[in-house]
Amino acid sequence: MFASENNNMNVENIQSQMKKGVLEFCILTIIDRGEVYPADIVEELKDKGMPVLEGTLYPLLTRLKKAGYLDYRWVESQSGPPRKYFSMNADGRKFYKVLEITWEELSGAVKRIIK
Amino acid sequence: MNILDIKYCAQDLQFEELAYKKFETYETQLKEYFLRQEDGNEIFEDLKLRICEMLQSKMKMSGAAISEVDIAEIKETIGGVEQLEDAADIDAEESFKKDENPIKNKKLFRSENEKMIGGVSAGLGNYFSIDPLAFRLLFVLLTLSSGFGLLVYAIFWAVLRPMVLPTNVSKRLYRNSADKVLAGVCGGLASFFKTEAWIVRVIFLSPIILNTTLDRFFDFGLNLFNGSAMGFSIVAYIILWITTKETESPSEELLARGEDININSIKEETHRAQISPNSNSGLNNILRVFAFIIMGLALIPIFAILVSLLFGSIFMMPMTSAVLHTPLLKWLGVLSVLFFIVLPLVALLLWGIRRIAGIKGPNKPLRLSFGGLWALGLASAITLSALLLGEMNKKSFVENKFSVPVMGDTLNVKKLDEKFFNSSAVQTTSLISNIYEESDDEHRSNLVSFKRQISPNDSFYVKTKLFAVGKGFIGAAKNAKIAGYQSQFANNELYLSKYITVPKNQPYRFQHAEVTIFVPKGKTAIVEKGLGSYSFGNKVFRVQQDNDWDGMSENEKDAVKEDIEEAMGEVSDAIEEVSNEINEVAEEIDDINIDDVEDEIERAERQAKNNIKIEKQKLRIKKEELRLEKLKERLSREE
Repeated sequence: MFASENNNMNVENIQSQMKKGVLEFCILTIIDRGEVYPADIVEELKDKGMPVLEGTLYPLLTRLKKAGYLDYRWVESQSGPPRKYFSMNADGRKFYKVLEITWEELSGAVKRIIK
Repeated sequence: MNILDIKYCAQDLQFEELAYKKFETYETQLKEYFLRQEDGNEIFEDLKLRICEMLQSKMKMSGAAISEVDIAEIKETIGGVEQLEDAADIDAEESFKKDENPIKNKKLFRSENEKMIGGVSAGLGNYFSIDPLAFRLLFVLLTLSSGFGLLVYAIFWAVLRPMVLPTNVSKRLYRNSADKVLAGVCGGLASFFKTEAWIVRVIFLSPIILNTTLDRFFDFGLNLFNGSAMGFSIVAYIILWITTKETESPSEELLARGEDININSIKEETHRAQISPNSNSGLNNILRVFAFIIMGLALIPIFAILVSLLFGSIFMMPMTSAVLHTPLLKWLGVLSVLFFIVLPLVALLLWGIRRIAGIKGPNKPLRLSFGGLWALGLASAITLSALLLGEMNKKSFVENKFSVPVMGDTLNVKKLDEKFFNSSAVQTTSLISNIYEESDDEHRSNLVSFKRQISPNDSFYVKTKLFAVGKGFIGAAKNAKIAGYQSQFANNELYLSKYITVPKNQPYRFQHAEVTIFVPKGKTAIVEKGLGSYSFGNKVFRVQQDNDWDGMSENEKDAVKEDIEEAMGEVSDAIEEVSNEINEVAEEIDDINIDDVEDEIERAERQAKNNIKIEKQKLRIKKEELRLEKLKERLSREE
């Protein structure tokens, strides 16, 4: 179940497992607010304490787009290569609502267990 | 460091050479990683655009070409392939197409991004995770000792596919550009073994110094630092010089010292490079002078040999065209002279000029082409010598005898005048005109020797033997036949030619002649001085007593005995050669017959066996029939 081949269960492993669980949700939260460029997503996540590698983000976004939850459009840049801006569509919003509820239940349960 | 202009996703970018290599490696790794997944192409393309943006902004911020630090920072943001693999979602992984061959990174390639010649050693080094230098040294040693190395290298080069390979060695030997006297070999070794440079220099120099100085004055009897140790030291230094590079980037500096390569260490190293130490200290300069003296002393004899070869071949010109009588040989000759002799001379001259004037060295393609042409010259020189030697491995002769009807007891032998010669315009090459001359239709040389012996009967006679070399005895005899020798008898005097001639369109194969004058007992021959270069000049040759064998001295007798032995040896060689040929032919005949006969025998055997089987079967059937009959009879009787 663990990605690492180590027999020792190290902390980093579990940390990354926990992160993996909520990453998609966090990304969708940012996109839900409005059309956004992947690099901006990375920036915000880093600022707010959940850094992610762009090499992880892009596959995620592509998967979500393929699943039909995200749309994108190309924006030409004056002094550089064109950019892909992602936005959430109706199906995506439905999916997101489900995840939101899941998160509320989960975080609530964990909070209660910790107390 | 070189700056490369690269167009990436339609943007014009500038990379430092090594930074670009790192970038290429990283990009290829990302591509491979993503192409293994579903929609990998799209993901990779998106990331490419993002990377391009980052590269642009880095260029704008620093105002300079993209450096290794920039590449490292980009890698940190996007993620290295191992990090991405770790961070990838497990469920997501299951929905991604995974490559069925996880042993992919254990395949052997040749390196495209790091290559000295063809990247073979770099590829091998990457596969075994050791410094490519080990393989470079291996190839060099194999080539120098048996020529095999070149062949093996070429095979590898042809068979392995080129691939951008990452550095996966933790420590490598480089030459130290900062601390160098000659080429930085000792400095680099010092870095590698974590000692001081002067220690390494002492190790390399001690055989040279001890051999040239101490050994002369004191007889140590140790033979510890004799010429071979000195030679080994010099050769080892040169080999290391050729097979290693100087460090050209901060990451290579780190590799040379075996330190970790990450963003911080690269930044530190770039800093350190700017305050580099001075390699111009007094001691270093003294060592440098010393080293140049040694190099000069070594190069002068090589230079001298090459020059003498060159002049030799030029002056032998007319004869050369006769020796190399087929177009193939002529071409090989030209190639050899041009590329094997002239080329290194030119290269040495240029190198000297460059060194003095301080101009930068030639670039790789030029160096490679020089080396390649020289190798071609070497190959053609070797082929030429092999072919020529093959053409001249045996000697043979053609003999002719004629009697000299002299009136009286004395024979005067004089030089045959040129007007009896069959030539029109005679061209001479002043340097070798005494030996070799050329006219319109023939060559002639004065390789004629004269001997005298006692005649077994009462008359004077002359025996001429025309020798030549050739391919085997048969070839040599053919070459001997085409030679010509002139003589005349007029006015009771014998005129012998100084020269032996070969027609121009025939191969010149060192045709020479031996003319023996047979003088009967009690008579005299007076030979004119100047007849041939081996002649005994104007000597009087009188045979008087019986035991004055033939007036020959002991030495001459021994020489004759040797000649006889040699001739016997050659005769037996010739017999051997002919009998070998006979054997070969006989074997062929035998082979055919024996095989056929054996086949026949086999066939006959098989036939016979089959027949026997058939007969046996018939017998069995008969037996069965008889039994049946008997049974029938019994049955009918019982009824």
